[in-house]
Amino acid sequence: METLLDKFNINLAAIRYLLWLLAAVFAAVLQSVAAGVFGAAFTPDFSLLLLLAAALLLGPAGGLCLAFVLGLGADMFSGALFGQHAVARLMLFAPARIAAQQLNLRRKLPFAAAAFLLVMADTALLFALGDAFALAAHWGWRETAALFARALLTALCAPPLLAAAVIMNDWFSEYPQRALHLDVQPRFF
Amino acid sequence: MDFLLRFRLWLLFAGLLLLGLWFMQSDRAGAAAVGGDSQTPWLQSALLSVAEPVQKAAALPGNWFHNLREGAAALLNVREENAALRARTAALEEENLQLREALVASGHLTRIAKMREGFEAPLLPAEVIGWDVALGLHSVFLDQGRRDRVRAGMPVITAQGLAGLVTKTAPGQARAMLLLDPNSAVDAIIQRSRARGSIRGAGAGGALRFEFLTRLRPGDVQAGDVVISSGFGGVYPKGIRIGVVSKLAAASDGAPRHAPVQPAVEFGRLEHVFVMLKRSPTLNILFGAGNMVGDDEGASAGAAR
Repeated sequence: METLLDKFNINLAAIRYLLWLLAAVFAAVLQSVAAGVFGAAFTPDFSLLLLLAAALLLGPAGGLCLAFVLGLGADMFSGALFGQHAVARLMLFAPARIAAQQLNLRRKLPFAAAAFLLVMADTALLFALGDAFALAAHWGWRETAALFARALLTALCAPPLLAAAVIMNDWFSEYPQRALHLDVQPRFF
Repeated sequence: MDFLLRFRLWLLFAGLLLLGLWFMQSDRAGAAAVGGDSQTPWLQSALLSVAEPVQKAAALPGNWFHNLREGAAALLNVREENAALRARTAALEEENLQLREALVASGHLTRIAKMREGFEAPLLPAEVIGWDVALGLHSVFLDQGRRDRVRAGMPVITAQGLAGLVTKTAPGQARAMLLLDPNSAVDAIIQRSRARGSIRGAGAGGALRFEFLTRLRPGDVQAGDVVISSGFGGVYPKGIRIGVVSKLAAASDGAPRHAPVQPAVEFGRLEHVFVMLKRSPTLNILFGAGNMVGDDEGASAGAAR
């Protein structure tokens, strides 16, 4: 049966990347608004979670471009220098991609642990970049506590966001990953 | 060609990395450049324009909930608050009358009225629609931008006092750095003793740090002293309330060199602010006064020249 996609010759991959881009913008906006309501410390880093999901679900070239866009999205809503998050996310994509290839990040616990570590690495990288470009940023025990709170919340939000990203990605994929799932045993971690 | 294909990923990575570093360098240089208007980089401006409607829509539920909560709390205390405000208004009217009498007696009223004309700036109400996502930095995003005549360098205030400074502008949005930000510095004085110093952001604790410029005499600063902007440096107008000295850290020689200040503005509940649509003469010299509010006559005069 001819679907609408076939009829209008719509490229599934293009739609998939467009959806990832829209998700990147939405994640940046949501994070900025949520930071106003709950405080920056108690807001999960949605764009980092998307970066990790992209490392798992997208190819390296597409993932690199998305990491850059995700960083620019975070730069839009930050007092940091424009491009600071973009450079940090770009540099973080490599270890995220390696982790996605070496570990089974489709499981909840490894994905959450990777998200926790990524938040830590991202903050360290942002401070290093800010320092290199002479941007002052205060760091004390309150900021350290805030970082741990954010990393923990990000890790908690990681499994549902990964599930949503997998659904979104598979829905517009020529070779849906869901068709390749061979193990039918329910596993929690 | 083979080389390009073989190393395409590395080339893509290097290209994007260089682009990001170039963005950072341009932003840094733009902020420091004399003659620029510290406008948001064009790409960031374009991205902000795309995200603006989404951000405004996303901010609505939060603001609505906040208004509802504030409204309910206000209704509960309205009777007591009304009585207190009436008493306060009466006291202030009395004080105002006495001050006017004193000014008339000293013959300074006319001169002060002229100064006031020069000082007063139109206030543009703006709503906070986004917050800084980075830890350790404190900025907010306002729903008024260049289209609404907001420019970098304009002070942002609330009914309680000084909140910050506009640092970047896009057509429909502006970014304001709050006093809490470690990059913020305001020249300030203790209202009672006129001891001068610099107010700096002290991070996530919500307190400010008053660093005194000169060696203080005993009694120059006490807990509870009101801190106001000094007007030196020309960025912020003189006399805007910043906060109250909360406690003193005595130095080894007994003279305090810095003091924590509790800000007058509740930054955690910042929702509605006012942008003062007038930049100081110093910033106009630095950044150029083109398209500034109140400078239309000046600009046209400049063009005629």
